[in-house]
Amino acid sequence: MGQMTRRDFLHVAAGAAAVGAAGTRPTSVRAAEPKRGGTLRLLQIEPAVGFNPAMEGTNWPETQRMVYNGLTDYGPTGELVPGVARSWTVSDEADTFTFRLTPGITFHDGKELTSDDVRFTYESIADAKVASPLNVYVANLKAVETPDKHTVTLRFSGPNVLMMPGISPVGILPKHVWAGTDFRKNPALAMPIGTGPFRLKEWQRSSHLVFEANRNYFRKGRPYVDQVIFKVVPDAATGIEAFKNGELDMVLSQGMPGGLPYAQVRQLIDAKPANIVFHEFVQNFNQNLWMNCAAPPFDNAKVRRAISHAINKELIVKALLQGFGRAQHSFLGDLPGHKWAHDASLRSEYSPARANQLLDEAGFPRKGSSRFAVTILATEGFRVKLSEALKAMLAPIGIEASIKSYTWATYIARIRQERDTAGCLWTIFSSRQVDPAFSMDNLSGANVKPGGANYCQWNNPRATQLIDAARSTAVQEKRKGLYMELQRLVFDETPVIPLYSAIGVDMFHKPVEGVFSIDGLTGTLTSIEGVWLNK
Amino acid sequence: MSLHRYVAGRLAQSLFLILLVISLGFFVMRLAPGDPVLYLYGAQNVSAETLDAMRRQWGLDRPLWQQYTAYVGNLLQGNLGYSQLNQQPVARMLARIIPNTLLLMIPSLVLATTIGVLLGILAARRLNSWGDYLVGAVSMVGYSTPPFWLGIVFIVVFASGLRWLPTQGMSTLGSSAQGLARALDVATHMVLPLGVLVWWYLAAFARLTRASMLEESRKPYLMTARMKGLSEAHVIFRHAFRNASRPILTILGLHLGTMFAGTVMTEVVFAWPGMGRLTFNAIIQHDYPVVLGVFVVTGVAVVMANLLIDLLYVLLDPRIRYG
Repeated sequence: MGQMTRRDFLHVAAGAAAVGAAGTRPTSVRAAEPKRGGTLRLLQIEPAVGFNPAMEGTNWPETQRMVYNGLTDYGPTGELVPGVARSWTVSDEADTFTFRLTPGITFHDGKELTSDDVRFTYESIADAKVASPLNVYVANLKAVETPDKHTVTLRFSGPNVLMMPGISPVGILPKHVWAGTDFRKNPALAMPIGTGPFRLKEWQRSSHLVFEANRNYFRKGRPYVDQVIFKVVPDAATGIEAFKNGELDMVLSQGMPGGLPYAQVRQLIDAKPANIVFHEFVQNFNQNLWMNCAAPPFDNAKVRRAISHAINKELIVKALLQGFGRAQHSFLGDLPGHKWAHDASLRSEYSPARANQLLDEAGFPRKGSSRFAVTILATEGFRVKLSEALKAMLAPIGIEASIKSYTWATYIARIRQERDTAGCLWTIFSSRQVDPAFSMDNLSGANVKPGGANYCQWNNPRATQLIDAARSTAVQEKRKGLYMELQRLVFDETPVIPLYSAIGVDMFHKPVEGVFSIDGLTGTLTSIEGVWLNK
Repeated sequence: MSLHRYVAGRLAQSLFLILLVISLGFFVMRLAPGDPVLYLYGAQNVSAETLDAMRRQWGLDRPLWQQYTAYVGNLLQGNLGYSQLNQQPVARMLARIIPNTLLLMIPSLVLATTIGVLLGILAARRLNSWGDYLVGAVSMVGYSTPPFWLGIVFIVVFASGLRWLPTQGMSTLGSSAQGLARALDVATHMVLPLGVLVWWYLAAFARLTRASMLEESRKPYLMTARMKGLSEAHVIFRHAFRNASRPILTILGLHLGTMFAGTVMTEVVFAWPGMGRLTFNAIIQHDYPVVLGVFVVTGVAVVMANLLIDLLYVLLDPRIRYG
């Protein structure tokens, strides 16, 4: 692979144009011509609270993508394809991005989308006053230029390797609706206006969201269905029962924080129901086991490595996840967005003997059967089950673990804000891994302070240097070298123990066609405009 | 003291009580670490500075006592506040949800009370018969089974298994039915959650009625009534039950209040969009104004229900006088 050049991006754009409007996964059966009409009913576990992409960040992508289009979009195999931008060029330094917009795209209220709207959206995300959760990805935005109605150029003060994979698919806001208003009080919060394939028609919070087809959608002929309903069912088990019962047409893995109810899904797949189709795909997140590296006993790298040898990752995947996962050994998971940088040679063997030896060396001899006690922090549900498995795996090496369970907000506050984690272990997903730069933030020294995303408080100057260097160059070969060194360093020091990456399952009843489930990206989300009902 | 003054006094007392509940709630909620900002963005790679900026925007950076006085000040003006997390006024959220909860709560209380009382009377009348044991067993099972578990069993049996009824929700998705058809649709969705709630609540009523009726049945005035030649139905319902009903009313009053807060687990299992779900979500999300709003509304409901029950006592028992 060469560097991320302008030519590569043009190539991607051209390929995407060739794929065009074909929304189906190559492997799925395609009927001759999509049929029109009907209502599609989907499950949402955690009710969406908002739609403004600048404010919600990466929360609720499944409903955000209904209403908005980004500059780019994801194609059937996860590549970037044109969104409202029909083409784009990137400077060799990846600090200047020029997008050419498709003319004639209109928002749901009839106003045309122009380069001004794009500029407004990106300036809002970067604006400290808006406090967008995405601002960290455009922190070095220098200027947004709009030479004409359909051209927009974003200039950064250095390379921005996350602009294309991470930020360009974020939805474009209508400037005339949001400019000069209080983002937290605008009426469009409840009735979002975008350019997307659907418009929000009815929103009964904690019950359902009804979307109706946008008949002026710029991708002519789409969407195929007239109406899409997201039904909020807070209990995943009830939700899947409703799906089995035919009350819902589709269940997407994307909308399930914490993962699928694995046993139930396995049972459903094994029953081989004739009327249900399953798509299994690699989700773009890793489950990681974190420790507080700033306090004993986990301030000792030998102790941390001992833990990693004590954990049988394959068993966790097999028994707890019912096979819906893959054991991981590098913090940069083996995911499609990381392929070019992933170090497959790293491997932490399951070996309690080696773990015991390391703990002896670290100066924690057994007193009776036990060496020392730790606490595993958890949240109700799957995380408690996972913690119980971890506890059982720590016992043979003389570590006595007790489990404390909290609600999510208290859990994350204790870990991230209070830093009240001395002698604790806990699990948190690294999500949305479309580029190594995303998850590596979690280990940067810049995020060690309370509130920062360096949960384990591992402050390694060399690692921070490598993380910064890999973000401030666009030359992929160079980045790869830096990430290789970084992965080896993280592996040796073990501030965090990667456990597994998730496998998602999208399920739908037979009449649903045109679904593609994208490895490593956002599941089926973007394809709802291409979904149709064969009945 | 006249009845009016009694009621006015009780209301003033209640106002104070509600304020106390809100104040307690306000500070107790803040004891647990965590806030709505972390709930939403805690797992994203947001910088510590941005999280602080959000807290400033949401007014969570001010000293706690300032937030408290601001909240109470607004409340006294009838303003229940704004949920930053849900991006809308709390009053609007509650107004949408309360009817759904009432729809489930009123029928289940009416049914549970009626069936429970009748079963209780039956059991007391035929003491130690198989009927008595059956009523005892049914109420024991209902009362000792966790409602969410019973809910899942109902779903598995009646919805997924027999396919008689829908698994969840308040109405069929995407249905455009109106009028009678719509009412029928909602009614079929109500059957399972209603079944769980009625079974759960009727146990208390049946047991209490049985005990209360047994106590009355030993009293001499019933013998007098029978000796006067009154019909057995008259003796039971006009005389015995009237006197036995006071503890039942007390329990009813208690349930009226607590049910208003929503039957959390039942609503979660059946995805019923009611107060219980709202409260559950708000607590999980640390959405403080919503939780407090629920406290206010529930507090008022409990107070009103109990006042109503107290007034009913007077009707039932002429010996009771206020003042």
